[in-house]
Amino acid sequence: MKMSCNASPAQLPQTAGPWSRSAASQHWDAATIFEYINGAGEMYLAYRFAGLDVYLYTAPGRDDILVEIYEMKSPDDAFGLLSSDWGGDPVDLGNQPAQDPSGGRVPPHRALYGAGLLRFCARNLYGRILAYTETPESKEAVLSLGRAIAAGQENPPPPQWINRLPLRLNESWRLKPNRVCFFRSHLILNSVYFLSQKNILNLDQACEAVFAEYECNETSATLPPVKALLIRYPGADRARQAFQRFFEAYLPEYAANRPGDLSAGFQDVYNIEDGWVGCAWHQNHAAILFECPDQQTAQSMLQQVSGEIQRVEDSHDGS
Amino acid sequence: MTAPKPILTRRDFVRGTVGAALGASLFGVTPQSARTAEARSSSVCVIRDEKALGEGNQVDTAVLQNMLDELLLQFTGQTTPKEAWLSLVKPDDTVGLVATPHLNPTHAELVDLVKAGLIAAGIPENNIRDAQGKPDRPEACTALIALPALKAHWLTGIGTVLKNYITFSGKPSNYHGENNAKLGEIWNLPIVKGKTKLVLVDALRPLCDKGPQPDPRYLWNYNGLIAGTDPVAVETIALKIIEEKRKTFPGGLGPLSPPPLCVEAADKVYNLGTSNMAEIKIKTFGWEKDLLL
Repeated sequence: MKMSCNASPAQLPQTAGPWSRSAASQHWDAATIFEYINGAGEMYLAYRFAGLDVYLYTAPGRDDILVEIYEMKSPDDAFGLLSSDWGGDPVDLGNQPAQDPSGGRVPPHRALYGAGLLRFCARNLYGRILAYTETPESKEAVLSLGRAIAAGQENPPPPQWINRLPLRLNESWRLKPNRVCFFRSHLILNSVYFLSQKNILNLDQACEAVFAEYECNETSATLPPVKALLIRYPGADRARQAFQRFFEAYLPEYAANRPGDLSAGFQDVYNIEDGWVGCAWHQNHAAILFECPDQQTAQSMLQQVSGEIQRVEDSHDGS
Repeated sequence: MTAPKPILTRRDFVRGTVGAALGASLFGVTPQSARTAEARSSSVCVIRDEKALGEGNQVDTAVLQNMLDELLLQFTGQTTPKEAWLSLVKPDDTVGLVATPHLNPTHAELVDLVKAGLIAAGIPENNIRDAQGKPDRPEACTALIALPALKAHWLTGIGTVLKNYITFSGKPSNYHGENNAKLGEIWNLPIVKGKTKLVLVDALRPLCDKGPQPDPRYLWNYNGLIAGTDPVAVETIALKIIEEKRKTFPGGLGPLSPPPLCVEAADKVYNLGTSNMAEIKIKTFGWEKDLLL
């Protein structure tokens, strides 16, 4: 059911250049979002979604501008949506984080523009503003609407879990900030790195996960990037169940030899079709490396990320 | 006690065992190997015109009309558009047009031209319906013309031909998430099976990434129409165009993720047609620049 919205999470101007909006927005919640975007609603429900307000700006003789404001339950979720695609030209909407505690693990901008579409996060809001036809005039209107929504909505630092990603692995493998994605659902994981049609890592909205790629910066190398997946489960039991399911589904030939008791932690590497896989589990944390080029590299890299997930969480580490 | 169904993973793609893994994961069985030995052949026609879209990407209806007529003649081998339509549908058919209604929708001009062509061929206007929607709509039709728009889809890899009938299931959510590989199942429902007389894909301005929500960075003017009667073959050609377009971006966009499992499943599990490029005869007409085939 479509409902008009009485209290929008953001204050939008009545006009933007020659465009003006209708008085009320259309509002959609988790139960109705598929009526608005059948086929794409899962993307927002894969994060912790609270509601969506949609405004249409019209102007005589010009194509419309569509404003979608997704209200998420936390800034981490709004950030996660943006992090699934770092493409586009960076834009400053005036709400950049004052500093970057991620140490350069993710791109610094929280607004990206390309070909008429502005995507941004502003605290717990994720915005999409689309000019159906891009002109200099429509671009200015799109950006002005973005600035209006972002006003007073300063972005906090990225999700703390991202800070567990090493900036380098084995010295010569460098993190690619524009390939870092924060997520909670296997559907999002599959959109950045397909692992399985099923949820073999038992991910859900109580989890925090980050996917990243590391490229080899040795000029003579043409190796594919190593992929890293770090997951924080809500408890050790959940992590242990995921460990079991992952082995049964992804590494069945090694499942028989996996340990039943993870209380002391676990780490090992395995040779499969597309390289070496490294797995480390520690309490409620997991790290998996994919497509490592050889056994020694896999072991060395795994040792490094295993150390990161064993690091004791402190008050700045978001638990 | 039955053994758990194996789970399809990335490793099946690396091994080249997706077909078998799909059958096993969806039904717990291996697809019939005998069927793969059958000689299969499907024709798919692609027509393009550089002038199909004008300023502001507005459709030039006259150009589109010529494209549609030529496509029908080439595909059916008939000599007039009327004969072409009547080789696909009967005068007493109730014809359902199944367009993509939103999120990079089918151009309304194409739907209107198809409807006008059917009327000109002698199909009574009140026997031509919008069949997109709940199951009662295809059920009321004796013939269907699928009119999807070409787009990549973040959840299914591609969201064009097979996904166009998702609402006919009555339970679209049953085909969301990890169950999207089963989309071909819908085409075998009694209310649908055997009714699709033409699959006509609107490839005027496709979307090659981040669909179905429009992202103009990934929209481009292909200015084409794609036609066939084998939905899997048409989807396979549509997929090829998307994949080739992705390679043209700086650095490449990489393979579709997730991979379009529904296409191979429609072939190997649901036997709807062929996804094997070697079994598809492609005929192309018109504008050749950046054909991507």
